[in-house]
Amino acid sequence: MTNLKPLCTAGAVLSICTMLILHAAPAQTLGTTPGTLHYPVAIDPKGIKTMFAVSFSKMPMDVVEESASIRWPLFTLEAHYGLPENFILNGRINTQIITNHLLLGGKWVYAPYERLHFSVGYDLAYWFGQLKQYGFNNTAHGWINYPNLTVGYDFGKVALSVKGELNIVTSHTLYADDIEVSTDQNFFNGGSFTVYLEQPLWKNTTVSLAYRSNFLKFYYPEWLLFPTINQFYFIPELEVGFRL
Amino acid sequence: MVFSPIIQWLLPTNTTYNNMKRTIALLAAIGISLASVYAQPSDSSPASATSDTLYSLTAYVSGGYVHNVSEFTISPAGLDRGGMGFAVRIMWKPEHLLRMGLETGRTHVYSVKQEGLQTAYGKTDVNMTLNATPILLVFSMSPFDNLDVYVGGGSAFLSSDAESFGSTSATSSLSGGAMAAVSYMRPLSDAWSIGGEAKWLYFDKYDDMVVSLQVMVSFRFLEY
Amino acid sequence: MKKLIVAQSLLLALFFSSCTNPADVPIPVFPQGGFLSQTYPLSAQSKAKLEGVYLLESGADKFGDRVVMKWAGDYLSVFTGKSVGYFVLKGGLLDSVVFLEGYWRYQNSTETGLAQMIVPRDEGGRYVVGDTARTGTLRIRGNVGSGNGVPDQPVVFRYERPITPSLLTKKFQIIAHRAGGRTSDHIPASENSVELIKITERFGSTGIEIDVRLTKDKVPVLYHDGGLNLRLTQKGPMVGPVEEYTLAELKSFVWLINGERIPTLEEALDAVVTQTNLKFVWMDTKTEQSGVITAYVPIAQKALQKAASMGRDLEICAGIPTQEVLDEFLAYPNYQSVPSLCELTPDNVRAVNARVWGPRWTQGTQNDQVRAFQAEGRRAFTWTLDDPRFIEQYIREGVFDGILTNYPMAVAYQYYIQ
Repeated sequence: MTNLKPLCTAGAVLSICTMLILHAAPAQTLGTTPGTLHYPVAIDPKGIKTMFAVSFSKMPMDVVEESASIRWPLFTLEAHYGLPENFILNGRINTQIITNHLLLGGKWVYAPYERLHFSVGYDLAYWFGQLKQYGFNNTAHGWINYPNLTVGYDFGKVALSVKGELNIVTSHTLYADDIEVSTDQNFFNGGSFTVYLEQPLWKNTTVSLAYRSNFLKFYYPEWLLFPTINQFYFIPELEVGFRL
Repeated sequence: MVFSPIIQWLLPTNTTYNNMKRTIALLAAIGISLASVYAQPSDSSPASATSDTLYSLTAYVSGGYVHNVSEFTISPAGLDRGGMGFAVRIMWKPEHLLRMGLETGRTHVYSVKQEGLQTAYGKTDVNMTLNATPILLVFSMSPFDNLDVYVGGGSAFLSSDAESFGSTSATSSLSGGAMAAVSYMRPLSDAWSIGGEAKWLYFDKYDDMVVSLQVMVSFRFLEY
Repeated sequence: MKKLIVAQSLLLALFFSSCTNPADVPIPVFPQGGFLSQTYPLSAQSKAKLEGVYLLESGADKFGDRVVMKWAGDYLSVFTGKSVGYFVLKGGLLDSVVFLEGYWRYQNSTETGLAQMIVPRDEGGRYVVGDTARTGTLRIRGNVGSGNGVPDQPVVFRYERPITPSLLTKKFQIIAHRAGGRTSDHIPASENSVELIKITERFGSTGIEIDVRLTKDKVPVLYHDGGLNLRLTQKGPMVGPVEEYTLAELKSFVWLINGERIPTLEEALDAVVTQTNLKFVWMDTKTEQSGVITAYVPIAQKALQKAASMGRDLEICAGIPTQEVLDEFLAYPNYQSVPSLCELTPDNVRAVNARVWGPRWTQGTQNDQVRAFQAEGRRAFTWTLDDPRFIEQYIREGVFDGILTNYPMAVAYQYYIQ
């Protein structure tokens, strides 16, 4: 049985450190937000923001068994395109070479205060995976829906955003040796909370540090591993991103 | 229906562990609130850039006492949670608030020493040790003057030695690692500083956590 | 101050969300042993009368349309066709009423609860406990609950027919993976433990697959993973590969995840012979050292001799999963007479004179090849099949002689419902 206490302690430590860190961001005139990606701020129509990120997840031992619980990194390329009326079109490619996840969605930004902003959005993703080496002959694909809500606060030199999203799988199929071993449709797969800290690192390059708590029955980057268990797993993720 | 499991998932559970979690969170929030009343926001930190375009590389060397705070399901007789550890860190300090760097070192995780332990297989002396060599990517910021907060993640090599029943073994494995630390440094000169650090390290392979109090010396060896 | 409150609120939201408690599935128990403590044991004749296929008159939304009931020693297992659901009940009688108490569970999730039932006197109770012929309908009425809560959801089983006799005489093997399932299945005892071997028949198993490794002093033990880890063992002082430690060290300093000790192969096989009615043991070779075959074959032979002396019907086969193990097996003196199960090609199966061929289930039903082996007097077991849809398909359309599975209750349902 996975011992979650150390992970919970890690979450607590990260939270406390972040609170301390935010003291380094004295109240100043807004300066961060043009460089941010995740902080909910409107983009000028036809404007584009892009980011490259790398994330690492820790899988439960029940799922990975003998394999390493800290998995291969997931690489992300994300772009946001400004639309009128505070709408944003967002797209994302996540890849782990044998697994790829293509996402398209939109969100609407609501800024009731100068520094406190919200956005509500909906993303739809198609993912597919294939491994036909090392004795494997497995493929998989599926569709996932991500309704989401983000709240962010601009401290001046640091922007803090928290994003909550649900994970609803509309289709999910796994093949092994050309046999369709599993197919499911329309099930609630859980959700995630992500905290983003965005700030400039050098010159005008903004870096995003994120901690994500996933609570999922099925985690697509590790589609090869998932057993036939109908329960939620806690899968923490750390992500570092750089604005392009 | 999709919404029924959503609602069940969102409802809080009522367990002793969740109550403990919430208590810790509230205490942390109260502590930070009190700290903020008396804190002065920082515009700069020790050994930081002397102009907006100045970059620097600073080396930190630290060493001190390490204590294992993991929960052992089976707490063996002779378990020694205390030991020594040291670390070396190189931090790059650009013109903004965030710093980035690399850290490595070696830390004692735990050891077990027991003489004449009686078991179903006879009497034996027991000597076991687990050490860790982390390799971490580290970020830091400075919330107050001379105070730095670090968080980092990466890997760690775990090495163990065990001797009992006349048999010795040595094993090593790769683990994930994470750290968080708070350091306070007093400048001795433009380049040198001395201070101390409280650090928390986590190695995920066997769920080990250690906390450490270390003396730290830093040297800014490059500016450009 | 305002920004801090905002920050703290956001971060506390993260912290509260950052953890869930691990899903543990302890077996629910009735306080003070339930009502059964006041009843008399059922005779073998009474137990036999309860076995069969039942329709669900109430509770079909939870357990499907039909269930199969079959005894494993003193435990009545009820296998359902929904969510890999099953019951484990004990029985007793009082005044011509049969009482059944225990628990139910969905094996592929964490849902479980208490179960309490009776066979009323006038709905089969007299028939079950007495010598009279059955008149009227045999019904089992009761309630199921959630967790340790009082059972309050009605279920009614109505006897439909006996289990098809040919299914009971045919030697189809329902082989439990790792002696009964995986740690992630929240099984009540640890993988590859003697404690799990003793209870696996309650899940419908007729055989087990166990994972054998060598200690540093060449003693075969049961352990699946390459190293001592937190998936299989409680956090203790020893880490690293099992092969790095002697038996004395493993027995003294390592506890499996549910508190048991790592068993030797000898202990495990002795438990199979003396404390179960299991018919088949598949010894899967899981070691990077050489010498495993040489170490465990004599132990298996000794267990078989003991089984024969007790009149036990038992087979113990050496598993050959890889080319390396095959090469070592071929070097063993008189290997042709050592019972083996070969997972490799048909040519390899014949080369080692394996009793059983073990192809992976994703290679299909392969009926032609299976029949060819059966014509040679060999058998075929497929592995590791867990999806209930494919279990049904392979039982109905395939001709395998056995299935290795983490869900023996699902295989038992699909097999005995025929």
